Amino acid sequence: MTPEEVVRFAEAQAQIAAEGGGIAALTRHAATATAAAIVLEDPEGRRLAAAGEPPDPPAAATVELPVRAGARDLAVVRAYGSPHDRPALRLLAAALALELARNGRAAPPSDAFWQRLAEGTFRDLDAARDEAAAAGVTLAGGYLAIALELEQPEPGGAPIRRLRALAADAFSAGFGAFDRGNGLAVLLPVERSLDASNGRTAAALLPKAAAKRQPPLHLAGGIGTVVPPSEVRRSLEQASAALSIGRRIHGNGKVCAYDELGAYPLLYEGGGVERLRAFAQRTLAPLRAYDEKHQTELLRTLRLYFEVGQNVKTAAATLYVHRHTVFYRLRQIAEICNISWESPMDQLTLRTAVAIDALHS
Amino acid sequence: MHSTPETPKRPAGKRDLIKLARECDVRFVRLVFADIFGVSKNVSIPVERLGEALDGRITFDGGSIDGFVRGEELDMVLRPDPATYALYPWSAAGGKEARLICDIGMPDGAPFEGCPRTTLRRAVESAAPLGGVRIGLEVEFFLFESGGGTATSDVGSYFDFSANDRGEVARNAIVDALRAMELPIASAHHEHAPGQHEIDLLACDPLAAADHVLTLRTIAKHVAADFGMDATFMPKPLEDRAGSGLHVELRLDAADDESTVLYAVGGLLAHAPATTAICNPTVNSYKRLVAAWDAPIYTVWSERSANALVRVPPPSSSRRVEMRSPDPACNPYLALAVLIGAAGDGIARGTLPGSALAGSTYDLSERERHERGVGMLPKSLRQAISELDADPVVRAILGDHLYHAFRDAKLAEYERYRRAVHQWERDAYLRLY
Repeated sequence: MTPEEVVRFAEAQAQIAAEGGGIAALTRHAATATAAAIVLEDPEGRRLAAAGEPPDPPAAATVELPVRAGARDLAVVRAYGSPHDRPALRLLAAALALELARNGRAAPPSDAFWQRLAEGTFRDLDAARDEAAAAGVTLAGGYLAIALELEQPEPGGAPIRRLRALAADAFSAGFGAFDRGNGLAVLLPVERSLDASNGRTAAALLPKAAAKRQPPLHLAGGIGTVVPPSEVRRSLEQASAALSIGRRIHGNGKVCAYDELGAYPLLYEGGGVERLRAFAQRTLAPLRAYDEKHQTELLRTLRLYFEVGQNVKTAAATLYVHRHTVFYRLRQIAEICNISWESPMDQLTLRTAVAIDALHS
Repeated sequence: MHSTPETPKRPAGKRDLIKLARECDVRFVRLVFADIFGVSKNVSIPVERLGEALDGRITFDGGSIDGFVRGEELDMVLRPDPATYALYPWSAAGGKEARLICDIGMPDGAPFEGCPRTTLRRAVESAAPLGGVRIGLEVEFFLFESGGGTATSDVGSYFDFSANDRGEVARNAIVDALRAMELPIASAHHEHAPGQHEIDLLACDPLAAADHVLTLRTIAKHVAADFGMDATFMPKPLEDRAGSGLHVELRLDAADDESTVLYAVGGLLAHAPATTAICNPTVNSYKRLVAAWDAPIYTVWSERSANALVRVPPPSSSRRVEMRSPDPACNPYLALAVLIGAAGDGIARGTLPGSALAGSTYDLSERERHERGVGMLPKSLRQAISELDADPVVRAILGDHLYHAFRDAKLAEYERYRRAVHQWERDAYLRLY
């Protein structure tokens, strides 16, 4: 390349970056301009972008350049072709560094660690702690998994990187994340219940924040429950289930929490008698405790209310009380169980719990 | 007894305002302003000088107002806000008396940085993310029999409708007078304690809301005196009864979505320890903020709990956020400025408030508070000032002049209180030791 060609190359790269073309477009342009095959890989060897025809099986690259942000290695550019185009490839590495750094931790070194933690592949917690330390991570007392998925499968890594940037804005520092299909798995450290409640709220607000970005991102998600580090896999499975259930119930554009879906996880995942019993017990426990403490008949009223087809007049007659008393008790039940009688999902949850309780208790 | 004049129409122009004052037989115009403690001050001028006043040519000696000036800045200018023109419900020298609420300016035309009203204007302008916030207020106060004591004419309680309650008659007269001055009254009722009443004001823009508090306090005292009673906005006049609060409702009608409300709540909670110094500015304020009579003590929010610091009444789509800690002894301009600023900061930073609490906040154990990240409100004026010192956001809302003037005055007040020997100490120790 002549000096004039190098300048033109730099201008074209800057233009691509300014238009939001991302690392895939930058790499494609460089491959065309240098007539080389170019591969961009993260420090763990995962391919981030490629253009041209890299040798198969892999061979030694003609030019290999680190993509760095300060002292941190973000990626490696490998070119297979003419070694004389090194100046252009150095410009490409600089543009890629800018792009990866701007989009926020495109491939932080701890990604692999989080993925392994979520897959439950560590021998024990000590092994997880050792590897966490090596990856520069301090393990928290608990984790809350969040599964985020773009609604439309979008080619290239740019939307996922933008999803990462969105997550970086929404969640407190110290969270872990790794790419997962057409989305992102996020692991939020939880030391206090405050961390979990703020994490849930932040996750629930993500779809609206994503839709406001330019260009907009459309996503759905699920939130697991708080688990110790050794059980992150379970939380992520719950998050994935919540995502699937949420999509079926609410459509796209929602992030649903597993433990707020009432009976749906049970119906979606199935389960034996023990699981059914545990669900009923968990759902009706607040009413039982209240009845016992205050000598009330809320659980009986609830059962009867369902038995008579949710007819307040008939329930009142059967209980020998005024119908206003039944209304009052139903309001008490809603408050104690934190449900709304206007929500079909909440009704289903209570109804299922009452039915299981009758069958299996 | 006070009389109720007809509701004045407020003209926008200077000439129209002068004409209206003449038509209404106004003899004197009080140019009202608030000092840094929110105490209503005024300069009374004969109606002939109203034109001069509206031109901003009436000066006063700022050196005699606490916290206003430093040495050389003695002459200060009153800048009346024509929108605040109102007739007082009493006569003056055979005619009527009007008032205009003023901003304070410097002789060179610059706004005075220690003017509470200007500070509120600035805070509202800075809090653009709140998008035209409106403020509703619930003002509680006591009516005692005249003479400086705490005897009441009734034994009423919450919402009571008792016969022979002179306090209720006086409260109705106060409401009548306030309505005549165009205050947007929502309702009024008897409160928890004997002699305690509440007047609720409909939501309006923040500056008008703060003006209304100033007006309400003045009118209540005057009208109560007509009935042989003292109206007091002291936060906790009776040890074993509920104190008086000034609940502030922020209406975020223009908020985009639910997240704006949550972030505003997050900002109010995060800055609550510091805003307490402004919203609860007397040593007596902290005797109200105890775990009784539904007074808030923890930085927690709720939909239903009556003793949460911040309440977001359901449904959240109503975009209402109620701050329950302020008391009616506060400077309403500064209190609204720091609350609006805190909420705006929460929105700008995306501050999340944690989960809403169900049930009484008094039942929270120390462990639960730690888990939920719930803090405590300051327990004394001294502690509140330390919290204010440590919060650069709230200090910036006040500005350097007001922050330092307020801080110095309140530290001196606290020191006087600390050195005073109280009756309780004599009762407890005099014979024991």
